[in-house]
Amino acid sequence: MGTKQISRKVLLLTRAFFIFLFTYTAVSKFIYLMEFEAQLVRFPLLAPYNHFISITIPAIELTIACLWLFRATTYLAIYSSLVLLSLYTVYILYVLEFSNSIPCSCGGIISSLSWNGHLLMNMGFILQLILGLYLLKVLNKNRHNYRTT
Amino acid sequence: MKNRFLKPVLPAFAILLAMGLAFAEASPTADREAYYKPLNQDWQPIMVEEACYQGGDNQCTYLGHQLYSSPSFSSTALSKP
Repeated sequence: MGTKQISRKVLLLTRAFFIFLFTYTAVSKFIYLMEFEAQLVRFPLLAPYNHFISITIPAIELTIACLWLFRATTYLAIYSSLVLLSLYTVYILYVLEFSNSIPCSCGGIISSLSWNGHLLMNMGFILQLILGLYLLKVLNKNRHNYRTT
Repeated sequence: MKNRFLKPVLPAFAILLAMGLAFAEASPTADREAYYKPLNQDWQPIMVEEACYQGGDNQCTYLGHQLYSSPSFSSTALSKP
């Protein structure tokens, strides 16, 4: 198996993984929308906007999951995932400055993780996205070179 | 051939799996309320994780203030394992 084929497979798995991740967390939040909104009330910074955030975050997550579905929007999907995960990471760091006891208002089984666990997981996802971006650029460059020669 | 088959199937499978797991999952556990008293202010409520009511070696704090089970210094000081 060539490097190109491995890169394609890694990209395919990355795409499937992030579709799964964003769909799962968004649907979990929509199912328990009331609980999610109630949790946000007691969060530093977020409390005044809890209603708006409780709708917007899962909607953004679903939109990003949709962007991952199409080849034409893969770059946009990677960049928007990077922005969202970076914002989450910054927020976690901010929350950890305040307290070690604030519960997580994230969706699904991810909510059972500690804040430090979240931080590590987010960093892993960000690294995976950077790898995906690199592979996509390499593959596109090869395709461009092939066409122009 | 295999890749051509996997390309549309894998994302569809990911969506189905994500939705299935999200719906199958049990309701999230209710978080508990705790209280802290900032200097020269009234008691303030805050949501804390369930573990703070289990007790342990790690104090549960917010902005450096010890958290209590009710708005009184005589109530239980919260800590977690």
